[in-house]
Amino acid sequence: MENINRFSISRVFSIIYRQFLMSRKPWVIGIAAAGGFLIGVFALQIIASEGNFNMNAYTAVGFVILFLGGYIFTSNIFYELQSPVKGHFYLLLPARIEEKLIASWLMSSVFYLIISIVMLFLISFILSGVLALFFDGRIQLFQPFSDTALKIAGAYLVTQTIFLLGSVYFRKFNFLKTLLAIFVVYMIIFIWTIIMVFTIIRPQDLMVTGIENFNFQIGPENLTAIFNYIMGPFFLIVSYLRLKERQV
Amino acid sequence: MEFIEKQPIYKQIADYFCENILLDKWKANERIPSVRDVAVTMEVNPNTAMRAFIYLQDLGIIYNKRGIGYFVGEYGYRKALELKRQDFIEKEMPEFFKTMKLLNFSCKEMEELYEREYNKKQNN
Amino acid sequence: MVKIEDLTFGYKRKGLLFDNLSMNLFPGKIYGLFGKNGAGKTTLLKHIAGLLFPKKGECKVFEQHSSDRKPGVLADIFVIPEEFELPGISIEAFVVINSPFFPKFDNIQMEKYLEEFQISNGQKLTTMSYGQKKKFLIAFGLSTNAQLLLMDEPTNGLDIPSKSQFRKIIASSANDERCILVSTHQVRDLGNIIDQVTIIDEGKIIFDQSIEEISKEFAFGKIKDGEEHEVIYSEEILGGKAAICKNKGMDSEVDLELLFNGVINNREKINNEFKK
Repeated sequence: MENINRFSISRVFSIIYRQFLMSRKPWVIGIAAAGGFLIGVFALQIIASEGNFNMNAYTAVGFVILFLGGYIFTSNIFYELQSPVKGHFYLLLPARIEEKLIASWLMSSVFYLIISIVMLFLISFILSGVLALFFDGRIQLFQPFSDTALKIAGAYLVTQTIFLLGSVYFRKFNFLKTLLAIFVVYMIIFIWTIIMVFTIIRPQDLMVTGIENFNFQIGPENLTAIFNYIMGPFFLIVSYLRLKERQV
Repeated sequence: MEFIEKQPIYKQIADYFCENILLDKWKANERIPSVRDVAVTMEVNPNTAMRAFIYLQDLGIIYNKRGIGYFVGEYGYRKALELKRQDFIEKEMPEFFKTMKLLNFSCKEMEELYEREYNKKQNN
Repeated sequence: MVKIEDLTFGYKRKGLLFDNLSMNLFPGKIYGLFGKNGAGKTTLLKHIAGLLFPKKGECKVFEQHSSDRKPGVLADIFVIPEEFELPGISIEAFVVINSPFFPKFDNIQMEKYLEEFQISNGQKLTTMSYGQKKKFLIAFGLSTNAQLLLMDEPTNGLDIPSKSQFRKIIASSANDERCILVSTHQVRDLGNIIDQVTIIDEGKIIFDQSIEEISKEFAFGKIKDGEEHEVIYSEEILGGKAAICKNKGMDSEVDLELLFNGVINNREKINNEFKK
C-alpha cells in the first residue's frame, strides 16, 4: 500500500504510453501537415529561385511552426480534462499528481522538441537532396545545435509552460484563452509601467535631465536571465496546484 | 384483517431446494450447488442465498461438510416433505378452501376433479 | 471503508445539496443508494471517489481523505459513471494502457467477464453501443479487483438479458473484502442483489438499514379489507392496499418501492421502528 503511493518513473512512462496510444491520430496528422507544408513551401522557393535553398528563411519558418504547433499541442495536452465525461477517468487514474503533470510536461516540451527538430533536420535533408539532384546545388542541412537553435529551443521550453498551465486551467478553447490571458497580463504590466513612469520617475524631470543621466542598477540582460529560470518552474508549480485542485 | 404477502427471497430459494429434493432431482447425501452458484443463478445477494442454506440446515434438510460444501441430509426427503406439507396447510389451503366455499364447491366434487386430473396425468 | 462526516456541499448558485451528511460503508456489503431525481446520488458518489471536494466536513476512504487522490486509494476504487466516453481504441489496447495502473488487475477475469457479457474482442470501443460500452466498463472495473466499486445507474441502457447477466456478475463478484455501492432508481433491477438500503433525500441520509433488519421489523403485503391494523405505511393499489406492517411472525419479501415511498413520506415513523 505504501509502495504504490511513492513516486514512480515507470508510471510516468505508462501515462505517456497511455496518452500516446489514445491520441496518436491527431499527432500523426499534425506532424504530417506541418512537414507537408514546409516541404511544399520550400520546394516552391527552390524552384522559384532556380536552385537556391534559403536556409535562413527555412529556419525561421520552421521555428515559427514549431512554436505555434507546440503551443497548440501543449494547450490540449490535458484534453481528457476538457470533457467532464472523460475527465473523471483521468483524475481517478491511480497515479500521483506529479506523475501526471511530469508526463504531460515531458510530452509537450522535451519529446515534442526532439521530434520537431529531427523533423526539421530530415526535411532540410530531403530538400537539399532534391536541390542536389535537379539543380546541382550545395547540400545545406538544418543545424540543430547552432547557438540560435539552442536559444530558440530554450525559449520554447520556458514559454511552453504558460500554455501547460492554460491546458489545466481552462475547460474549453484552451489555446485561445491562454493567448488572451497572456495579452491581458501584458496590457496590465504595460499600463502599470506607464503609471509608474508617470508617478515615480516623473517625465517632467526627464525632460530636464535627459534620459542618459538615468542609471539603472540591474542590467536588463541579468533580469531576463533570472526571469527565464524562474518562469518555467513557476508555471509548472502553479499547474501542479491547479491539477491537484481540479474537480469534475 | 387479511394480509397477503410474498415469501421472502431466502424462503423462495429454500422452496426451490425442497422441490428439487421432492422431485428426486437431488438425492440423499448428494452434493448440492454452492452458495455462490445459487446466488449467481438466482441473481440474489450471496448473503440471502446463505440464509436459505442456514434455514434448511437448521431444519436438518441439508448438512454442511466443512470445506467441501452442502449435501442433502440422510432424511432430507422426509423432512422436506414435512415442511412443505405444513406450509401447504398453513398458507395455501386456507386460501383454497375459501375460494371453494365462495364458488360453492363441495368436497365430493373436489374429489372427483382431483381424480380426473390425477388419472389424466397417469394416462399421459 | 468509507466514512463521511458532516459533509456539506452545494453547487454554485444552487444552495446546499448536502447539509451535514454522514454515512459509513463497510466491506462485504452491497449497498443500494436510492433517492429522487436530483437528490444528489451522483454528487455523493463523486465525493466518495474524490472527484468533488467537500465544502465542510470530511470524506475518507480507507482512512485517507478521498480528495488527496493517492494512487494507493485510487487503485482500490473503481467508478462506473452513468455518463462516460471511451477513447477510439480497441478493447485490448484499452486494457493494455490502463491495467498497469491497477496492481490487482486480472486479465483472465477480464476475458471471463467479456465472455459472459458476450462482448467479442477486437472491437473498437467507439463503435460499440452504449449498453456494450457500459458492460465493457463494468467488466474492466470488476477485473481491477478494486475493493470499492461505485456504480451510478449501472443497469441504465442495458437490455433485459444484460440486466440479468449484470446481476449474475455482481452476485459472483461480491466477497467479504469488497464493498459495492449501486445508485439507482430502478428498484426492480437490483432489488434482490443489495443487502443494505440507503436512502438520500433533502441533503441527508434519511434511511440506512440492512434488508435483514427491514424484513425482521416489517411485513410487506396487500391488505384486502379496509381494517387498519398496525399499518405503518400504505398506498392504494388495484384491489386493496399495499402496506408496510409490523412484522408479527409473517416473513415476507421486502418491497423496496413501497419502502422507498414510505420513507420519503414519513421517515420518522419508519425509522422509529428500528430504534426500539
